[in-house]
Amino acid sequence: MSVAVILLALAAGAYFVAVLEGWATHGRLRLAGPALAAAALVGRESLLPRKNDRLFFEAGPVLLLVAGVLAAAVIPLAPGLIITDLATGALFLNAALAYVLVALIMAGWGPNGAYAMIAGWRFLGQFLAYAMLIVMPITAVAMRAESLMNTEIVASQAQLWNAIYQPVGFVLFVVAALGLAYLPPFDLPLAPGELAGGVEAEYTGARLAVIRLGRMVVIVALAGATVTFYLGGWLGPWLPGWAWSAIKTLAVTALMLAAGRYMPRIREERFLALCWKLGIPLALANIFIVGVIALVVPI
Amino acid sequence: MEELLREYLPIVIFLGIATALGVVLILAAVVLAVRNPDPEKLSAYECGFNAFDDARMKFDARFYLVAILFIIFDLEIAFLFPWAVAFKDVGPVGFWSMMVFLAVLTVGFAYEWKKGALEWD
Repeated sequence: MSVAVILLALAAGAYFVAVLEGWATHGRLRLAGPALAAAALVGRESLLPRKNDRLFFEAGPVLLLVAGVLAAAVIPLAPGLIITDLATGALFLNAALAYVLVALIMAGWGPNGAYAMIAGWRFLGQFLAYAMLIVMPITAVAMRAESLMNTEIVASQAQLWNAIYQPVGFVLFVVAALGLAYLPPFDLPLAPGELAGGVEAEYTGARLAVIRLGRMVVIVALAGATVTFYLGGWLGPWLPGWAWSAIKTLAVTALMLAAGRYMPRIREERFLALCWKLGIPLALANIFIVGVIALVVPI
Repeated sequence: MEELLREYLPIVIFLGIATALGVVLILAAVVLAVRNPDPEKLSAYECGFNAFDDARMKFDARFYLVAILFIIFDLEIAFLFPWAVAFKDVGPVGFWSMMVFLAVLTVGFAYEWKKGALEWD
């Protein structure tokens, strides 16, 4: 039962992301837009570039989709409404999302095009920047919940959301999530301005549809993770739990898509410097402060 | 063992569904879409000229030192997770001993920073 519900929620969420992204890019809110675009993509010719690496070229898009879907499997929508509540859920989420890097490198390497290749390596540089900032704030969250089980992490926020309890971790996590989903201002792996689509440059037709769908699912999974770790998951008055999860996740998704629209793009080496020189000291301080607070006033 | 299987079986099913979805979409195109390739269409995308070189060339990885640092920090996280889960059980002693560990790590980090390992050039 919950498998069907979660899959449906994921599909609806991904569709919502696509609608919002279309709105942010073209300035028009078209509800049918993504469906039409997807249908057109599947019907269009799927080219296989010369000198391709067939395995990587085919596996890249599918792996991106799989990574997003697996990350979503451990995010609770409500008590009981979760695919599987792993004892190591927060860690599993991390492990699943690590495959986004592998998928994008494969997609960059596969077609043997310079644009795609450069974009793939760019994402590697970006990965080195954001990866620690995904994990270290999660550690601080786990310290409070004393568990990596995602339902217990949500339950630990009954009195105070983690976004207020550890605001530094919250901001770091959201910035890192933007980097992971290569959303603006960190969208240089796509670079519509100069690399003509970057990792997507050589993809056409159905494979392009899968790679885009995969990214949407990754965005929804990341928004769900933000809600679970920092915004109290299903907790909230009056409405049922799943409704709160849905509202919060969609709000975070909209925020993530809108956040970078008005910022200049940040090159991956600037992002590296920013994350390692500012982000990691802040993340270490966050762990320290959360620990001291938890020792002095246990809430 | 049985509990482990019960926890991870849905993951395996989900993995199957996700893979099937991606593969079915791609295979649908084989049936639905037109196929009319020609050499120009299949060449790698460049700005109007043929590619000068193979795209998989050697290049100077500027961020390799950061990559090494990253592995060190990743290992550190592997220590942090079990400690975080047992946070209240280990009490103040556990907390401060981990802080000493992190302080040692930070000293190394500061040294790397000073040596310029975090610079692009």
